Amino acid sequence: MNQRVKWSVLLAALATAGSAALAPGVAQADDNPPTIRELLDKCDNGTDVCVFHPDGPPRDSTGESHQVGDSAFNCTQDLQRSTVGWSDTTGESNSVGVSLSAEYGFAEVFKVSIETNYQHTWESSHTETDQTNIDVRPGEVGWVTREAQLQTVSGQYEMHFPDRFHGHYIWYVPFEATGPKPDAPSTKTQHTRQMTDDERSQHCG
Amino acid sequence: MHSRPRHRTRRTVTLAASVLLAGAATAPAAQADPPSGGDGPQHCTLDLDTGAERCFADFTAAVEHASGGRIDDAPASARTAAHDSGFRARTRSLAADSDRQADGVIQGTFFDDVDFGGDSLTITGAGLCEKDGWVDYQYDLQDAWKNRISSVQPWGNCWLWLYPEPGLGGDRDGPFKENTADIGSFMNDRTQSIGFS
Repeated sequence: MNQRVKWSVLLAALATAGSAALAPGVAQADDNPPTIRELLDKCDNGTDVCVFHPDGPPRDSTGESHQVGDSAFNCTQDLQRSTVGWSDTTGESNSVGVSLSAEYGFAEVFKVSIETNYQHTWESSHTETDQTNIDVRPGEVGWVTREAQLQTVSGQYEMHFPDRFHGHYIWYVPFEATGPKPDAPSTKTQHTRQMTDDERSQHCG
Repeated sequence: MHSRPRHRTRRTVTLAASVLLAGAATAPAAQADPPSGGDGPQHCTLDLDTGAERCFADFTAAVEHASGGRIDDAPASARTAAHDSGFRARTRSLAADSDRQADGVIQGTFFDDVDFGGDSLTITGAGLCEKDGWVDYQYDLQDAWKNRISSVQPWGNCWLWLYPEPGLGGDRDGPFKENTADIGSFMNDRTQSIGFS
């Protein structure tokens, strides 16, 4: 994310009072344009305006299936019901790689926008803890997988600067974040299969 | 209770359909690109200065065009970006250079559905709204966008006023000062003209 923007950008001048149009500016190529991160660090920390505009409703998706808790090996001759205790945390990712749980101005603007527009909070992290029963037949191994429900919100930050920032008064900054969908149940699935010889020798003695 | 802004309109843009009906070419004609194929939503931009309209398959492309088309490559998703060390930061400012007046300031985005869903129309104008108690810009929706708007986003320091008739006529709803995911039943699917103040 440290790569600099290679395009030069054009000047946007703030309209002055009594003027119907922008004060025409001279396009100024910036040889050292800011990164998205540098711009977002200025949100509510050097801007007159910093607003996040979502570009659509949150998009739901399902996270990757992955094992939670330990595997249960049945080394007996009888069917066994095993209880697998597990705790699993679903985190977030976003296009700048900075946790929205941190106290950055742009993160607060984003979270307030989500709350205001969609009437739910943005969760950067959600941990679910549970116990799941698995019926494991003799000589088999059982395990539990979990798929979390995610939501993705994307849009644009609109940032106005009182003075030119890298040559411009107005910057638009694209942003996208994916995180756990609040109050959405995850999918838990029990699996069993025959133990391998290595597993049998390792876990059954 | 809504306060009524003084309507000192500085700019009026009427698109081609209205021009034809009125028989007077007082505004630049719209130059809408034919919508691309597919069943997904269309995201269009309209330049109040030129009347030029273009439509895109995704909102990012529409904003890119509205802001002067200066975007570098974009991540397909946050996850992609997070794992793509080559992800090039996409940033741009609006272009208001005297040589590129077509690149205006985004003043508002209007959506077909609630929650900023469905088709969108992003309107650009010559500058920011001035917050001086006057309607700085106004726009009569072309037929394709009449009676459709369900959610709105004010940009460029503008407040948005929605009217059920052309020329800011009839009832009025607003001002919408912030992103509004549902404009409510009063003006839902009724808007035919928009004031920017």
